[in-house]
Amino acid sequence: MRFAAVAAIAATLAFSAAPALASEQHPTQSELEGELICPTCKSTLDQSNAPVAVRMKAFIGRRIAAGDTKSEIKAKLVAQFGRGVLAAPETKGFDLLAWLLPIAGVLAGAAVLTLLLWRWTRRAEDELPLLE
Amino acid sequence: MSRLKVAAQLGALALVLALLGLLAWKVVEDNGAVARVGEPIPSFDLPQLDGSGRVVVDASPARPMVINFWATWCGPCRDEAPLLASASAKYRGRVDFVGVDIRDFNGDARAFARRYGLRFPMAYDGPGSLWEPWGITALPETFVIDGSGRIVAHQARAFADQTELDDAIRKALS
Repeated sequence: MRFAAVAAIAATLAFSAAPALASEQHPTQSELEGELICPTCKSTLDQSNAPVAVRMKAFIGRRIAAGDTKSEIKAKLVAQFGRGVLAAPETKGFDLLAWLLPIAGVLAGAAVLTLLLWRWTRRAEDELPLLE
Repeated sequence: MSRLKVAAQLGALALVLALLGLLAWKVVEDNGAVARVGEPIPSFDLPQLDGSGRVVVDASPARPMVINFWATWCGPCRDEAPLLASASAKYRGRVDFVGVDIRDFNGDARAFARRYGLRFPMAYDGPGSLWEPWGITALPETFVIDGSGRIVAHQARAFADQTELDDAIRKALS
């Protein structure tokens, strides 16, 4: 039973990790265009036809053809245009806060809500009339 | 329970103060120097386009200066480049020319500078850190600065011809 559970979890992880790994090793033009920002118009590349966006799309196409990974292509564009070209913050360093703070906010909200519910239910119990 | 209540109130107060601090920081950032005619130039320190050193422009230039913002993807910048190349030669020793390649691929920009013979100092600002401090709206943009470091002319489009560029530079020399 325990073996079956472990095998199921491992299979789930493997199935969910495989597309991410494929995307990292063999990124497509459209997914990269959706994950990068045009520096002049501030929309994602797939939404922009600004001259610099057109240059960036051509650069992405060349780098995909050359066999670069998604991280390598993004790193090259960040080296040219700064971290502002990334549509989503990175999951390391200071940018990690952008991912963690919303989770922390939800957890804190849940904790406060739990505390308040606990207090209200206790008060309600205390206020129940004693029956003989 | 009352201790918990005090801690929660202190936490809420700290959160409000932190948000107020962020708001104040944003207001101060937004009110930073913007380049305007009659105002001193915002200084900058950027890498050279060829990677060989730094281009430093401060509020007290040695002599009048022309600062041109451009990029290779900007069509009018290509039309204007020959004018700047010839003007920089014409005013050598009297006016310093500085180019700022902004929001661009530096490899493309180096080829562009070679093709048009732009031999004056060229700064590279790929991330566009000067875009907002200098109030850039579109490329090319050119600022002419007199010997005291004040902006005397601002061109928010390409110069049409050498005469128009000469007229702007004359304001800095007079």
